[in-house]
Amino acid sequence: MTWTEEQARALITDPGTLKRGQELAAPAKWGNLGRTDSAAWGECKGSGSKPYQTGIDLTGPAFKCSCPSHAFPCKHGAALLLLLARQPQLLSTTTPPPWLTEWLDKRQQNQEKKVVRTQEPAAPTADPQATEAAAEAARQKREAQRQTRMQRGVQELETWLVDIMRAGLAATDQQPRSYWENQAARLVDNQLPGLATVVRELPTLRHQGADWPARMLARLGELYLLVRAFLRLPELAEDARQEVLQLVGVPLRKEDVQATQPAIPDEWRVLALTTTEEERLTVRRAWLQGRQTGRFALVVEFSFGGQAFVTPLLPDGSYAGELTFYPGLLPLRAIPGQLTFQGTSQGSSAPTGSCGPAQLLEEYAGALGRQPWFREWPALLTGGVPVPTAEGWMLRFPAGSGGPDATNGTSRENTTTAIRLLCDDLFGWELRAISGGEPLTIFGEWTGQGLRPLVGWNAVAERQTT
Amino acid sequence: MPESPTSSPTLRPAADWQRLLRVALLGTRQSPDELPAVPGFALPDPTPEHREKHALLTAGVLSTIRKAGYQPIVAAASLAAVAPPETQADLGPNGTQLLQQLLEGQYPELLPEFLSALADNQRRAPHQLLVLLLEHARSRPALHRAAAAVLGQRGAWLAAQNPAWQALLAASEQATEETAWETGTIGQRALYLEALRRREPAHARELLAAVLPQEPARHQAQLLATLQSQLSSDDTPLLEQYLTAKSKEVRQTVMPLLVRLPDAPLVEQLWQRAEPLVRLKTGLLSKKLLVELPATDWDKTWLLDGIEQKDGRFQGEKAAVLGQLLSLIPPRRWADHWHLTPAKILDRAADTEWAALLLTAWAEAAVLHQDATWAEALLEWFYEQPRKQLSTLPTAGLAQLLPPGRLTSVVLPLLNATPHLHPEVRWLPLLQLVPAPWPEHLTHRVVEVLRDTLSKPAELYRIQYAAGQLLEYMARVVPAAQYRLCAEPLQPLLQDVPYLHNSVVRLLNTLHFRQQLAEVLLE
Repeated sequence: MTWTEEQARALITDPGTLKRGQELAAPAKWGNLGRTDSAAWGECKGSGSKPYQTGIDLTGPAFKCSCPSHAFPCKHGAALLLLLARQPQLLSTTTPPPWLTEWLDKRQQNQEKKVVRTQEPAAPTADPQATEAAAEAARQKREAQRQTRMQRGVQELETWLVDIMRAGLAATDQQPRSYWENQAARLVDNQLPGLATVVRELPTLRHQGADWPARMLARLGELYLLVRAFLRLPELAEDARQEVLQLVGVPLRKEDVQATQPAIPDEWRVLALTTTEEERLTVRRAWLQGRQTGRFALVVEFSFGGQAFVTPLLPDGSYAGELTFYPGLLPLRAIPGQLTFQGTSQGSSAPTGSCGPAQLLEEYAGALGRQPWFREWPALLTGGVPVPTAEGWMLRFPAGSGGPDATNGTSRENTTTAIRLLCDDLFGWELRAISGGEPLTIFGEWTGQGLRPLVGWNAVAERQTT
Repeated sequence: MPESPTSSPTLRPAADWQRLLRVALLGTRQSPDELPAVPGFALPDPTPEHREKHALLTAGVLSTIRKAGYQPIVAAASLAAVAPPETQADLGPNGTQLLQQLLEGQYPELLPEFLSALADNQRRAPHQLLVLLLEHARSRPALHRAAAAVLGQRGAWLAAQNPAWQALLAASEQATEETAWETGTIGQRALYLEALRRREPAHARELLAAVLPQEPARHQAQLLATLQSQLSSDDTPLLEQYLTAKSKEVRQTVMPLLVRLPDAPLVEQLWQRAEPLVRLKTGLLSKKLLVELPATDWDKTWLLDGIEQKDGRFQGEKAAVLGQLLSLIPPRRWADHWHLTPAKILDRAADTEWAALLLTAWAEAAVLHQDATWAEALLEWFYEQPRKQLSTLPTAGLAQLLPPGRLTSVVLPLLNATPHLHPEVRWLPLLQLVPAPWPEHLTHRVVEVLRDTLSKPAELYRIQYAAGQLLEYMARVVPAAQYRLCAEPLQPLLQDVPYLHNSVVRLLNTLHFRQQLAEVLLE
């Protein structure tokens, strides 16, 4: 396969490494560059007398380098990947050097071992039943303690919410940080980290505009709905119970999810990848869509200190394999199983299964009816033109466009409808540059107030000369 | 949790929300107002803290209802402005990726030249890079014109909609914009006049003559300078009028223009004054130059001939007068007068006690009158051997006058005479005046010299600065096609050139990048 610049960049998680890799991604310092279909390698002159040996297993992709860096990929690996994307003709030798084959073989063996290991799960280790029973008893005791703590924490939170309502939202404006922090800390102590996160966000609403009391009231009300739901947990159906437990922050182990939930096989296309930095932690949110099922999935992974993400996802990449969705009322978050890379979408054409605004809002309302707490809903929206207005960017739908709306009876020929785009000014201009004033297909997250656009495709893709 | 309500006539989400918000702001303790109720969502009556919990529950339900009931904004249909179709091909995928690297700040010195090359090849920036390009060029006025030329239809359409980018579009049209002349800055007005001068020299002169009297001196100088294109004897009256201007800046702008006019009467006057001061004495065996300073001191009458009382290039009042005379008269006049080649004249001049004055003045004159023969003679003479007495000669100006290739044939013999690099080597400054594109045999020889010098590690620290400068200059002027010519001898040295490692890498990488830039134009 050929690699694009964008894909190469997506694999280099650390911005510092990317920058240093960019500087190194020129032939002067490299020797013995080569590649096969599944690997690439080269030797890069560094400060020492011996050049560093850098290799990439493209099936992973995985990186190897003889330099002392702890980051994966290191700047040499990043540079080699960029070179591969930019000037594959430079990687001209085709026989892998011995050090590379050795590494590739070792990787192969490790992977086989891993497969073997997963194939014989929990081989009965002649455990005396007594210890097992004791472990079970301890587990139940921990579980009971946890339940008590959580009950106490939720009741405290209810009292705190009632106090706020009694004193009025206007009074919260003068509260110090500790007012919110203390409540959040108590929730964490009571093993309710999900609720703690919601409480921590409350004071930040004050900085989001003059209408903060309305936002705050809405957020408090939604939080209270969650409190009520939690207090009546035993009365809920199983999937609702799962949902509420995840929302308050009861951790669910990936292995348990994969063991209890059905795996959904499909060909998954990556619609949007966004990464955010929090200190040394990189969070990557990937929205995927199944070709057959049409289902959206959100895969969130973390990388610490420049390490690679567990699942190497490329922008516009397609992957055959299974996803397992977290249980709940509205399964969106998913865990990838073994995914096989199928290449990237040709010419970045727009994905299928898009809809107009009326259908989006209909589906969104339906989803809220099932699960009122989710913050963003995946939206693959078609027919809108991004337009700058005095109130910010809007997605304007010309009258009589947008498929389902037009057929929906009432013809409003002299009006257009518009929805708000929640993006920075330059991204709005970028969408407009792609659109040229024509309708776009946009994938983004619908927040209930507007669309946070993530990618846009022009209906008529720009001609690419090759 | 109770079931969702089916549509109920009493539910008014907007109004109810406002009522609830009023109560919530003040707090339930202070606000006795009745709370709105959502049918189907009610708490059992005797609950403790009933009022607060009721408010919270209603807030949660109403907020969800309001989100679910989101209505798109309805606006009057406006005329849909659609971008016109493109008329040029965009860059291919590799070109797109290179342009992105340039716009992200790699090899910043190569961007202007690449944008011009794009425009020359009738190519445009791809749509997905337009915002990056416009934002990059926005704060760099020097790039405005080059960027505007590769926007394509889409980019022009886009830039016209964003006030931050409109200035950039203006750069491409500025020259034809009549309003720029009426209301623009002095820079824009000079640009307008310059363009007009190329098309209609007479009209431009009329406009200029009309506004000059009201302008401050600095603007007068800047606007008068536009006369240098299409200069003709029709301009004489206007120029002469400002020869005696109060401002030295204006006089110094007008003077060089006047002496460049064909058969300018001014040159005749200057010649009459200068000729008696520099005489050729023909002896039996040799010819000698005899130089005299003017007999009388400078007075105001000299000003009528454009000679200032002081001139920074020449020391002493009388010497300054002679120096100015010589630097204004076309130098070929002396060669014709004495029937001597420039080289012979320079040799004679070097033997006089006024050598520095004569050579500086003739070099200035050669630059002013664009005399390539004299320029070459001066450069050859200057670099032939160390000329201690002359520290400053306008070498860059002289070098520019030489036809391509001539400068190389001046440099190469010097290079062969001292084929190693050290900071004082004679050919080094001249080599760094050889413009792009360097011919292959020059690059070849310079790389050979570099390789030999860099192989002697003991010397490296001494030549670090000089060699670094040379390598940086080469990255700009060596044609990208000569990458191999440089890489093959230099790359093996990388391991052992501690002080110059980065400079060599940068030269090779830049050449390689330029090679790719050239390739993507054909992609």
